Amino acid sequence: MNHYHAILPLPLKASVAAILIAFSSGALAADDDLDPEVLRLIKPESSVSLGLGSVSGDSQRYGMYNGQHDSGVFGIGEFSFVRRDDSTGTWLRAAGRNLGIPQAELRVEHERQGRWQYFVEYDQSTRYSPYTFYSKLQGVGTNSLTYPNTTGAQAASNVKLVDMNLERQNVRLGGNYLFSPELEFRVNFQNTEKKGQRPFGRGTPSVQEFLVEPIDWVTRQLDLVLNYTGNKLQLSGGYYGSLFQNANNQLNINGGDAALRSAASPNIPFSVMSLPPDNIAHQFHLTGAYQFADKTRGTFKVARTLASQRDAFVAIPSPTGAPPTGGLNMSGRGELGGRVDTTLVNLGLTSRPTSKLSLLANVRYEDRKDNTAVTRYINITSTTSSTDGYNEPRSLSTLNGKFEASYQLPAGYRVTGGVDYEEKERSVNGVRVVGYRGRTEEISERIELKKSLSEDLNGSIAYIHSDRSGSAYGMLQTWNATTGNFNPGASYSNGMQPIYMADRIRNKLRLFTDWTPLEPLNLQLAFESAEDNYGAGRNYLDIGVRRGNAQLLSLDASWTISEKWRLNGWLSRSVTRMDQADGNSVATLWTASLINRTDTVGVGLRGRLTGTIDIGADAMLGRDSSEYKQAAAAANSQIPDIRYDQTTLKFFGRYALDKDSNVRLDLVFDHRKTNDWTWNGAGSSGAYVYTDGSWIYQDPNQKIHFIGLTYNFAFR
Amino acid sequence: MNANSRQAAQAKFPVSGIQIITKVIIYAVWIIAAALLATSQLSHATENKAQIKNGIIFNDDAKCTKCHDENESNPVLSIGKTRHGTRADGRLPSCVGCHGESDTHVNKPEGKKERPKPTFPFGKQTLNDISGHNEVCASCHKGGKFIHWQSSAHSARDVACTSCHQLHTAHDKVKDKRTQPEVCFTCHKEQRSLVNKQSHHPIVEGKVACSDCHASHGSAGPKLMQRDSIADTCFTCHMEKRGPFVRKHEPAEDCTICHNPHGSSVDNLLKTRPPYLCQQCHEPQSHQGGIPGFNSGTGTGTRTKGITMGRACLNCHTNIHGSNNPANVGNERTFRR
Repeated sequence: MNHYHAILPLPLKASVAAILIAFSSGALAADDDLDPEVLRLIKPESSVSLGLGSVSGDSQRYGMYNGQHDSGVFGIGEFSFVRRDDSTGTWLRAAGRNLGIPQAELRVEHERQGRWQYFVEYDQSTRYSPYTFYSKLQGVGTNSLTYPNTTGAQAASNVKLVDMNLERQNVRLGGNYLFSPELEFRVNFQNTEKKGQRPFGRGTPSVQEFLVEPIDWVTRQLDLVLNYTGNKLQLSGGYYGSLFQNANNQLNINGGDAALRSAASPNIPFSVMSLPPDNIAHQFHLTGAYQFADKTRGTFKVARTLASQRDAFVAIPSPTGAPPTGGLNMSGRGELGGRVDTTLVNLGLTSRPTSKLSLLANVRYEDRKDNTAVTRYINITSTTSSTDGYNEPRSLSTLNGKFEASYQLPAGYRVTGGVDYEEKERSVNGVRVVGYRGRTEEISERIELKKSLSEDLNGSIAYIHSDRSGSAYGMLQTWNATTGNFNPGASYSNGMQPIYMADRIRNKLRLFTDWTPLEPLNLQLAFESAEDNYGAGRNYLDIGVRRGNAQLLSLDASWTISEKWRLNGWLSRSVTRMDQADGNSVATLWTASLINRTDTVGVGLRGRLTGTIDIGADAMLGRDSSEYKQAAAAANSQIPDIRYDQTTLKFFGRYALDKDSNVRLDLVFDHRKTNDWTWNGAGSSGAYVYTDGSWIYQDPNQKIHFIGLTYNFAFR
Repeated sequence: MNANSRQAAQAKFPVSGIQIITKVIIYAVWIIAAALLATSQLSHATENKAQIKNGIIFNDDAKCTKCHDENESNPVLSIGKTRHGTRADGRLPSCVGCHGESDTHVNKPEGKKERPKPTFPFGKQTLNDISGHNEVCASCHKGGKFIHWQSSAHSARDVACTSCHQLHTAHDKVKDKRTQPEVCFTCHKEQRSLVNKQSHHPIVEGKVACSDCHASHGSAGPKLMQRDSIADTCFTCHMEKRGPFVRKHEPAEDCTICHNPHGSSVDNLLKTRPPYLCQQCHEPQSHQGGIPGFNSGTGTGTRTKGITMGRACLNCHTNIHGSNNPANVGNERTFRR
């Protein structure tokens, strides 16, 4: 196990010690003259859990996020200390979780309810990659990587890299102070450090090499808010600042394939890769609401955000031959001068003019203006270039409108109708290689009928229809460096409707029922069906997405068998399908139907065996299958289906030693099985091996057993 | 961090003192908090006992608690463990503050077979007057994060506060990030299915909660986002993708164009496996329109592993969210360096 830090860092250790001191004494004031049994019910409770857990077998999927990635024994620690002084309403709370694994959480909070509060919080999250990495790459985890060989294709490496993981340590400080019942100040500061590494890569049309991106990031966020809560008027305004810093803004690569190491044309090698740049944003905002009348309320939010990115550019490696015209960095800039200014205005109105009618209206406008400096970064010599060499800032303004009316009909029916409108305006640049249009607009109409058939049965059915269209698509043209202008006519295929701006008609149906046929039995049925039709394509080939649909069926049941036993279960089936096409002639046109089916079943049982023994069991079975049905010109290139099966069985038993303490046994069996060919390959395809010999493996059959034993103690 | 990257970091952060100051502040707050915890022990020991008249939790709550103890079908006493049961907070209502005087409930009229419900009943069997329920809560909870409640999808769909919140128990499931998703999944069935897929945020593991991204009480953002847009909400954790960059991938205006944040069968929460995903936007001008296949080779030709396996298109276009590389070379603009 590769932890970057001790499981409990210094401030955490110090705090745990302090908390134990603070809560260890029994010297708290004896409470009231109340009956001890009543006191037990109304007095805040503290608890401690201590134990050991053991995982058999490494499970990359099961252990991705739960701290049980590697086999072995670990400690289980959890506590919640709560003290309240009833005469002043002063709380002391301290809680810790996952203290034996690299997912530790700790929070300490001190509050005089209705007056002030402050807290400090620590949260550690570790993500382990579900894959095993084999590579000869040296320097993993740093910003300087070296390939031992400088030839092309190599034999597959048998050198196993350390676990590829990311650890996020988050510290949050915050508090609030009420100057009066109406006026409150809140502050929240969050510092997140993220360290580790993740897969990266580089390539040219003939070579693909494995790299590892070093992660050493800090993110900080500060919220300062002043709230005014009057009877009719409420206001909330303040500042939100956010900052990102990366300790490495570039990745240096030594060695590797000649095609990347000493590229001849273009002649700047791929030996320096840029990494995410530092950036910062400041937002000032004001939100409010006013109760115009007893049943009419207006709301608003205005916000202005100033975001910038001025991190120093990476050092561009020297070319193997003559430098390009204009130099390695022809912009003459040392940093981007990135700046995005965003203005948000949101207005809302809700009203209930009669007891049966309610109305809702909302308008939202967001203008995200990209004011980044525009300059030429690439010297163009071609007469048919896919770029003019300038960077392309992207501005986007979005206008949303919503109106909804709901009316109570006789016999328990309620009908709701609404219209939603969205308009997006995008800035566009002259030279593009992807289809674009300046404006899209979408209007949705929806109607819903709800009925409370009785107190035991209620349900709803909703239908939504939406239609998206937009301005004419721009012509994709090449740039002519000789003329300094676009070449006339379309120079690209000009056939694609990008999925996020394509014309689309969407129809959706939703059905939901909740039925309690008997006092102890509750049933829920949910069904959703959606269909997208992207209409005729931009040309006769009709490439891009054509149709999509999705269905979801879900059934839940909850049965209280007796005072001591309770059973619940759910099953769900989800199917999605997308039909799409690609190719630039009738001869090369090919299609694919991407189908995903997910079936999940869950069952849970809770019960009391005897007066001192509680048990519980949960089972979850899931099957996820993906199909890629290729046809037309791709008919003889079928891609195998991918299936993921998951079986998770959990059991616990709790034996009460007395009213306040118990021992608990937990057992888990988890089995993941897959034929995913992404890295491992399928049949004769063989595994995917990078040009440098690196390869990545997913264990197709992962089983783990977990056993945990804890002692739990509660006190007041 | 090796010496090389450390030097780079120091060069990049001429104000590295900010980091030191931040750490000092964090450590100082921990120590102060711990000290306050310890010292408050003393103040607790000397506090006066609160005087409750004719009640257990609140003054005059006896007319309720004489029946509603923990042996009754609607036990209420555990509210005493919660913020709503903190009697020293003068803002709080007592039982009748939320439920009304409920005279006929307390004193069942003669001739009535069943005891009438309280003036303001709550719970599943009383869902027919949801707006009335919620108005009781909103009479106090109307400022700050509740400002947009009335215009939220939850309010418009008649979701009662008590559909999600349990007030008469010490542990309100929806306020605990380990159990919160169970509450949300009562209605959001699709999301329950998605979070169990192989690529997911650590929601079932209890490290991320629905409320980390969604403001269930309403917001000015779409989809009840915590921040003003989907992208801005994603940036709170994934700020490295905010840019702006020399070369920006335009769909980054909305992360959900490519990603399904609730879960996916494809790594990195991608909605569809590359190259199919990329082929939903990119013209088939050259290799972009290639047919996925398993022919040997790590090149970008049609039917090759190079465009199908591994990270597919991202094998080369690795800086897919944006590249800040200013190199004077044509392929700089394709997120490859």
